[in-house]
Amino acid sequence: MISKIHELLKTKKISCVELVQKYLAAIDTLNDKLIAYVNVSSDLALQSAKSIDEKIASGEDFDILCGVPMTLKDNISTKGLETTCCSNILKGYTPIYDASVWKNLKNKGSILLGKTNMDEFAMGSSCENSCFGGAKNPHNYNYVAGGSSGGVASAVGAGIAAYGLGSDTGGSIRQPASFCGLVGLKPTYGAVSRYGLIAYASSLDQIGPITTSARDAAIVYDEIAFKDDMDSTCKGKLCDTVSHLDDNIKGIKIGIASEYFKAIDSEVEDSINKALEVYKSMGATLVDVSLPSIDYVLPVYYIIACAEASSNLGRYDGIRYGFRASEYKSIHEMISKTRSQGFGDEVKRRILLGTYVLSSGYYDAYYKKAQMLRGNIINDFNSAFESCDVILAPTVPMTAFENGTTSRDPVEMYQTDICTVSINIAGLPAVSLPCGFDSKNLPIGMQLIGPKFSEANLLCLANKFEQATDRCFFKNIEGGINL
Amino acid sequence: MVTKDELLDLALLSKLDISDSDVDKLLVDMEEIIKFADKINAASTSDVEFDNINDLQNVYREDKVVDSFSQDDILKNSKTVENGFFRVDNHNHIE
Repeated sequence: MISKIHELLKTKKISCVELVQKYLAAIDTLNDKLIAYVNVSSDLALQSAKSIDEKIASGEDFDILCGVPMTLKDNISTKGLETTCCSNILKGYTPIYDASVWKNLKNKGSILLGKTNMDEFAMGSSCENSCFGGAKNPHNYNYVAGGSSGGVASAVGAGIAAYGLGSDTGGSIRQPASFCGLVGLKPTYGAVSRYGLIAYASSLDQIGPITTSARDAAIVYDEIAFKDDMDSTCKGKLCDTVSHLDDNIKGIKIGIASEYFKAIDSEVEDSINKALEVYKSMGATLVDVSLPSIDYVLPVYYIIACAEASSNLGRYDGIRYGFRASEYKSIHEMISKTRSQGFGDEVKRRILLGTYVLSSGYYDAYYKKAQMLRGNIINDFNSAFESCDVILAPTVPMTAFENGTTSRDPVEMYQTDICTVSINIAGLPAVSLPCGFDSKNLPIGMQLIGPKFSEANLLCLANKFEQATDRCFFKNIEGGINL
Repeated sequence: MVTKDELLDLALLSKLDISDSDVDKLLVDMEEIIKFADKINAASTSDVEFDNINDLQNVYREDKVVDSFSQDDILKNSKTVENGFFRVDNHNHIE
């Protein structure tokens, strides 16, 4: 999609203003039902498009992302544009700086159409924890877009954004990409700057692209993975990924860990098995690997994520930004009323659990033990990658959930993250890509997991699969922009 | 088992108000979630070092003074500001 837009702008078959107008009109038609966008920045988008048309008319060379209409998850800070994390506590908050990733994309001429929906503070797997209501799946509005970056996936899947940036703490890019039939890349921890990403769990969070092809994911990744002085955990990418998209994959070893295939839907399993046959026909060999620590990865993830969240979310006190309760008798009451009225139920549950596992008497049994088990999980992956180049697994054990069926039992909901969280725990990169449809015509996704900083290899393998299957698992949605 | 008193203590530490009507529901949720977290008790961690489990290294920048935000910018998002400070009244307040 990105290359196509670039070509159309370059050959002057469409102007950037016309292109943006098309997208805005499609948003106008579809967004009421999708709730993909929570804030559409039409004026800013048209203004940027106009200046890009002037640049193109002057004959100046322009970057591949220049003039491409895109979106950002609403936890990525945009200077002067409201950023809420889809929480009542941040309504009205306007950042005074741009996130580093957005600053760079803006410099390249990317056009922001608006901010997209998410589970409140990225806590959730269905987008239904959003204070704006959950984003819907463009393949069927009765199903969720997934979470937490549900709005980005809904918008890109519906064709009302050419690409988007989400964030992935435990699967929040890959799971909605899988549910909406898209490519979603969770980069290596430390490849992409987190400066300006509103923190959920700092040792797990990572920004990445959701796109309609592996090539687009590579184009965007190459522009967002750079060393940044504003994030001391960020060292950027190892190499360009676009130039490796067509590398030879013959002889590549794909690891299969049986632990990822426990309790998955048979239709998901069938699609993954067919995908493995495709890779075999391209010269890949399959190797069995073992990740025994996966059995307790979910509690480890929720203990660490909630502990970090309870600390990160301590900053919402109603004093410096966002919502403030209107009636109180003391500062303590002002802060607790602000937080109680401003946060939704899932956020409160996670803050309480985080406070519990960090409190005196429980710290060793929960937080310290979970961190040590994190070491076991990392060791398991290191051993597995001694005998294979990548691991292939389902992204989610099932396809998209029906609207309103997920939020009743929190623990049941946490279980659906079983295939994605281990990658964040180990700080690894993984790309989710579509590999089938179930009997309800909902997309099925699989993920390729690699050692740290192996994004080029993962995106190359994703690209090869896309080519070998003639992009048959990507579907254009009526009403969206299909160039 | 989380008792009502423990839950209210956690809420106090978390600076959250829990209404009486929410206590019972939250007790059930917390019970379930802690039972779920307790699964890690069965796992062995004998051969793992605790320090820097992720094997991360800081990526430092040169230690020199650079421009930052102005006081006006920092105060921009606050509801009440006075003489360059954030202001919060310590008593009944109705906006």
